[in-house]
Amino acid sequence: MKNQSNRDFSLEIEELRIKLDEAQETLSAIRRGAVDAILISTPKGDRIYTLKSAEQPYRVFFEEMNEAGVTMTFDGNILFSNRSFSDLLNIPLSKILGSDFLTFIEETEKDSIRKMIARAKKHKLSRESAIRLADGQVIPVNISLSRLRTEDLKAVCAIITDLRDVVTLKKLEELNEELAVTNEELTTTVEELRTYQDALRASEEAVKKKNLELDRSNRELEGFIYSTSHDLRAPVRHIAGFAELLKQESWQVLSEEGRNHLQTVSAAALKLGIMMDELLRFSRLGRSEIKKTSVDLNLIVKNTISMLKEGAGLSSIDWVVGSLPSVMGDPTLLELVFTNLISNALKFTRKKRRARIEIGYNQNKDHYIVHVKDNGIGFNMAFYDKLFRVFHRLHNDKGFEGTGIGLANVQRIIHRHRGRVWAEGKVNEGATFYFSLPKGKVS
Amino acid sequence: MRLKEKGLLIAEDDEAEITLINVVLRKCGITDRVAIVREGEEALDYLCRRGKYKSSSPFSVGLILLDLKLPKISGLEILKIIRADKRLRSIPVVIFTSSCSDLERRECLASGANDCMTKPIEFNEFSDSIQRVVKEYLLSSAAD
Repeated sequence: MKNQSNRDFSLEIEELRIKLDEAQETLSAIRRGAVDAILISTPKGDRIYTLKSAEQPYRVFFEEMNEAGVTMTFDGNILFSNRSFSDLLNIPLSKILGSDFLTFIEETEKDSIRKMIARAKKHKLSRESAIRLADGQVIPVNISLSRLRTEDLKAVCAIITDLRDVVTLKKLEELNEELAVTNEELTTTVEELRTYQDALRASEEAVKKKNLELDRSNRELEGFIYSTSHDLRAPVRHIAGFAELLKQESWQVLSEEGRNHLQTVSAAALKLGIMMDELLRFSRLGRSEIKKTSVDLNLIVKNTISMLKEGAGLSSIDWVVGSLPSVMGDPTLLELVFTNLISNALKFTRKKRRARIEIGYNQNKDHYIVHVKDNGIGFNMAFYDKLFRVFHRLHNDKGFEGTGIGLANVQRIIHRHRGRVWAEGKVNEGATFYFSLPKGKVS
Repeated sequence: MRLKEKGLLIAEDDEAEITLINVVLRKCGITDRVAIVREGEEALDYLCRRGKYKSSSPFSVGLILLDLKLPKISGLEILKIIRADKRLRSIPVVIFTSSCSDLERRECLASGANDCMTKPIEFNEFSDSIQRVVKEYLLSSAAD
């Protein structure tokens, strides 16, 4: 047992001695320059890689690397190709070896690559190019060319890198960048929007506040007009009353001039009184509650015309009254609208030999638009903005009576019905007044 | 026109107004059975025969023409007091005012006014309105 292990041990030592001798022999050969090898010193001692032992890993490396690799002559004839190139093209190695590298290059790139191969004698070159696969598909690749420097071989090595993933990655990166930019822009926009929103809210608040103030001051103004008209009514009435008494009791003792003065006082007081009553009424139109019911405008117009006909001997008037809609509104107030508009039409056609008054309507999506048209003396559109103002008149007292509050009343009533009033006119050719009323559910 | 049984009480504080009313009444020939008071309290004194009217022997009132804007106690308050008083509530009261709002008018009528008239600006209309109520309340009751 002991003898046996002693013999094994001495055998092992003998083997190690032989290996050591061999190693030392190789080492001295390398040192003499007789053998190509690489000597790498490590803390554990020198390690030797001979060319022979290094060649195998290089082949394997070239064969197994993911990039496609090709060696070729300077004419482009392929000497060697690795499997990756064959896999990339999906063409068997047997058909690649010996063929022209340019056959795999996309048509438009051939010239550039040909020149590049020629230039690769002196330079390392790289270019983004394109190759054509077996199925005809053209893909982006990077082709790096470098000269292989061996003693017996003049060749070019080409490394072909598939850029499809890179392109996708690049695109993705670009997209990501764009996204980041967009995101940033969006954030900015959102922030701006928020600022605008805040500003808008603030200005809305301000408008609301202003509106409230306006409402209040309007109400105050209305109240002021109302109470003033009330208070002034008594003295005006007294002037009118005492002027009348003077007329009745002292007419005989007054001179002709004195009588004229008294007439003027009397007429002025009466007119003032009428204006104040109209102002009160106008003010009341703005203050009083509107009682909306379903109103048949045909009926209102019929009543208005017959009432106005009673008041004056209306003879030669052509009435063209179309059918009108039913609306939601305050019947008393709407009657006042028609009374004003129709009596205006009558008044201003009075001097026409053949007066014509048309009443009808149109409609759009939300509103009925009623018109009262006449062929009377019309008006100058240059003074349009005075048309609807209280006590503003476009025609003098001598030809046409009135205080100038009728259209202001019409406007106020229509506004309170959430409608609009407007007019068109031409001197001596007539006027058309329009008002709109919202379409609502008519019960 | 002559008022035979019941008379007219006018509550009015404005002298110009009183003059104008008097002219109208004189024109109609109504000269007696007309009393004018210038304050609300005085109207109540007259109606209840107290204060300076205690010892006098006023006529029986068949119509009160009541102004709304009276000093101290307003016309509306007087109206309410009259309508709340058993002895007075049957007397016709017509509000005769220079002007009043719709609201005031409604309140007057709701408080028991027989009518609520706004004094017309034009003198003849003013005169007519007075004659109309006098006829309606004093002459028809006299005819009864």
